Amino acid sequence: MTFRRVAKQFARRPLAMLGLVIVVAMVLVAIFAPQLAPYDPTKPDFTAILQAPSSKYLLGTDEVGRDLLSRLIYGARASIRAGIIAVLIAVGLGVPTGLLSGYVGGWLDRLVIMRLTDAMIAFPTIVLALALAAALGGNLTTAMLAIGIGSAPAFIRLARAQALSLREQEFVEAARALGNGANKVMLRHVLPNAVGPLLVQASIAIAAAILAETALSFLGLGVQPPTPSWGSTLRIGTGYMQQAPWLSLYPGLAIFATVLGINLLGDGLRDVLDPRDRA
Amino acid sequence: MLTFLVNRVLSSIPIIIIITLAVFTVMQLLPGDPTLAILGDEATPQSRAVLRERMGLDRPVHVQYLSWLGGILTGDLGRSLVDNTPVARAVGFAFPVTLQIALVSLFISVSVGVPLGILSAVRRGGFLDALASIFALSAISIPAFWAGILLMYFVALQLGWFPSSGFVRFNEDPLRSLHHSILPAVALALRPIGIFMRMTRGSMLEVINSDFVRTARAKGVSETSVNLRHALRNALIPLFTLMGLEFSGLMGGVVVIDTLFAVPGFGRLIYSAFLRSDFVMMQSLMVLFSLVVIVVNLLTDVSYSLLDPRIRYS
Repeated sequence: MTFRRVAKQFARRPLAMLGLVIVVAMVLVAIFAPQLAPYDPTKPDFTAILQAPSSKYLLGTDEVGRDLLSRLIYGARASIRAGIIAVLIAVGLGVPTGLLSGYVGGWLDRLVIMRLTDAMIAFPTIVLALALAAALGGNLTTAMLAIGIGSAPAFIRLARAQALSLREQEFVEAARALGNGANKVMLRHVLPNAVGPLLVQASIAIAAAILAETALSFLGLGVQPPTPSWGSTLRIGTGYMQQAPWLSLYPGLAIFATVLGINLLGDGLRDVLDPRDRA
Repeated sequence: MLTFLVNRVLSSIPIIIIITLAVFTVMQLLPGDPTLAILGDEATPQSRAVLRERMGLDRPVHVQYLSWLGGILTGDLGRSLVDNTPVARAVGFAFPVTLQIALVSLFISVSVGVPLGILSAVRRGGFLDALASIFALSAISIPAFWAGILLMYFVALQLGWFPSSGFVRFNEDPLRSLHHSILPAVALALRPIGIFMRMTRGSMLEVINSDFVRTARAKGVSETSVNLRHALRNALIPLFTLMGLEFSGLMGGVVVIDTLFAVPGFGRLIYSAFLRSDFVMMQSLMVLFSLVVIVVNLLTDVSYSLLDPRIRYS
């Protein structure tokens, strides 16, 4: 399917377009944070502690007088970056492994790679993040690494399934018959035809990765203070739930809107690109 | 059936071995010396050597691994580095709490997600379908801990319908115990509700158009009976695999939700072990977390092989 046809079909889905608009808006907010934020997100102002939302501070201020809106605008950076990098790690680990596993098959596939994948699935991502944080220190890098490893099994399974079904297709057989090596066949013929479903999976994985990053930052294992982040603002917010409910409300709303936008976008992509689930 | 069961159990053994090896290796990489953590910086080399010997740290690495693995298999999970109490005892206190919350959560997610999915599939393309689909996607997109925060703020603190934190054990007061577990369970159930709804809707739509359902309808079976007896039964089979997969996420979610609601479950146990650098406790708990997931997956596989004979013989 050509890009133009994909775009046309995508544009006909209002919910998918809504998702696209949300995602583009969030990315722009992250990029232009310095221009958009009304205040310095890290500079405390002890004369304005825990101010309720007003015309001066649209979403109120936090426990050291920092403007919440500015912190949420900058917080988009950490979450979006973490989501993308974690999924890049997952794709980098998962896609080659899955393609190899499905294309080569045999004992490597069934005894080694699939068992390792099962083991990875049985290990909750947050628990993996705790282990890595204990060994390497709790920060955004270890959080992204843990989320990346935790998201890899889905890519391994998907790439493997694609390789298994494409392996038997005539054009792949033809490429093999022409004397092309396994590497070339996989890169030139199998991978390009698996891009659609992988793209759909990647969008869903970014949404899940942002949820995981904010959960880890909420536990204090992700973004470290004073860097603004949605998850760690919620962590502080729970301590002031009665006096300053805005600290518990708006950061979660930002996460929810972003993740919903990505999921809407992913659902739209699935409808257009992935014929398997067209119900 | 027996061969299927035996095969299924045998195939989880390599998974458990991989996990214990991985956990053990990561724990070997930890910075610092556990004897320093216990005795403090002023410990003499002699007293540290005595402790190393008592903890078995003077033995070769592979011997340490095997004795740890043997301990896990026989129920000896080691002793906490912080207060020297057996890890198994702490697990014994925390496990029923987490099991209870997980079961309540699973019950909520199935009893909300599956009917919504059926309704959506039967009224395909209608207003209810659109509404249910948007609800499902929102349930998947909301961070569980933020859902927990909202429930805590609005339902517990503002309305006062549920306690906002803490826990009562089931054997002390079953009703109050359930009352305490509802909010954490609902927060954890949102994502599975969305997933189950979408899955049920998808597989119902597939089954509704299949030949045997058309035959049933042609025979004059009532619409409700076609949907519930013929379509749903077959649509539920993939749900079982999904339930097993979702359980891994549920066990991860427990870490955040326990912390938020101050629930003395598995999640709080491993998180506080992490905060206190209690690595013996962490090491055993990590294995137990994945063991729970593996056992639940085993149970769901077995139960859906009972529902669908095709799986047993393939």
